[in-house]
Amino acid sequence: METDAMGTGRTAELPLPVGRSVPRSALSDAQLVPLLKAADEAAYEELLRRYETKIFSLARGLTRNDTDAQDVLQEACLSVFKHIKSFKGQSSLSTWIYRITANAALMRLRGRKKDERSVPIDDYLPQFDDTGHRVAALPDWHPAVDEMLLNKELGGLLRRWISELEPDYRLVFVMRDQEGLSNEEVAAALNLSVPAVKSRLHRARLYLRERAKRYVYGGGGD
Amino acid sequence: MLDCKHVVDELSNYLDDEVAAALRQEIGAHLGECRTCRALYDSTRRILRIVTDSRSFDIPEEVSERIVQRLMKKIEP
Repeated sequence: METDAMGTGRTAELPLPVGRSVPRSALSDAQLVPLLKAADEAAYEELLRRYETKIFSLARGLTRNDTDAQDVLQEACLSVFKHIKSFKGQSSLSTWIYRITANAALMRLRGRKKDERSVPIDDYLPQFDDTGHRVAALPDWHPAVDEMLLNKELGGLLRRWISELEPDYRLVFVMRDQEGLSNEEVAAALNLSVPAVKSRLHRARLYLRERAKRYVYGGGGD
Repeated sequence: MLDCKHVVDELSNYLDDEVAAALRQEIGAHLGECRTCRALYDSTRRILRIVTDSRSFDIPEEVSERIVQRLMKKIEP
């Protein structure tokens, strides 16, 4: 049984004698669950300590602005409180929280009139002929790209390009490469298979690299 | 030897160290000879490092406090 403090393992409820004197910070996620169900104030404080930044960071990456991210954070925290009694421990607590966060962020994205800044990912994926050779309008690489990768401006550009990914790809990329979840955790949180997660992640990575290339060739006008 | 398409298809798995040893060796050999694929691999790896290093956003303190207050209010009997 996994009992790591950040709850990356399964969260079967553990019948530990948890009294008021036990610091909540010493408990695993699985051990916090029964206390959360019992509306234990200290357990909620600990939950926020562990997950508040992660939820906000994920929400910010997905929704692309601070106000929406703050709203998603608030919705996710209240949703945990509202639904914790029906949490069965079939996934880890962290996976469950990420799923709630992703759903809240997606609802917000769908509520927008049009996700007009998303770009079709297929336009940025490498093309090959029948013999496996590249078909590219631009040479595949340029020394200036290396230079740009060492330049601070790239961080801001990458954030913009990530924000322009189609939501299905953005979700996977942000959870996996930005927030550092495993393929399995992302799959569980988004109800996807692991191969589907890997495929979306791969395409999102190639898209980002292609954006960097076109940015350089376009003289910064992309 | 693997063609470029095969290498590009496996790029993410290779970056994540999720390819079998034999395939890893073949991809490594291709990257040693194909400058274009090598550039793709190196640059993608660097991009991902930058993304990983900039992962967290700070929560404004007042937002954090507001959430704690709302939660505690709900918890109170």
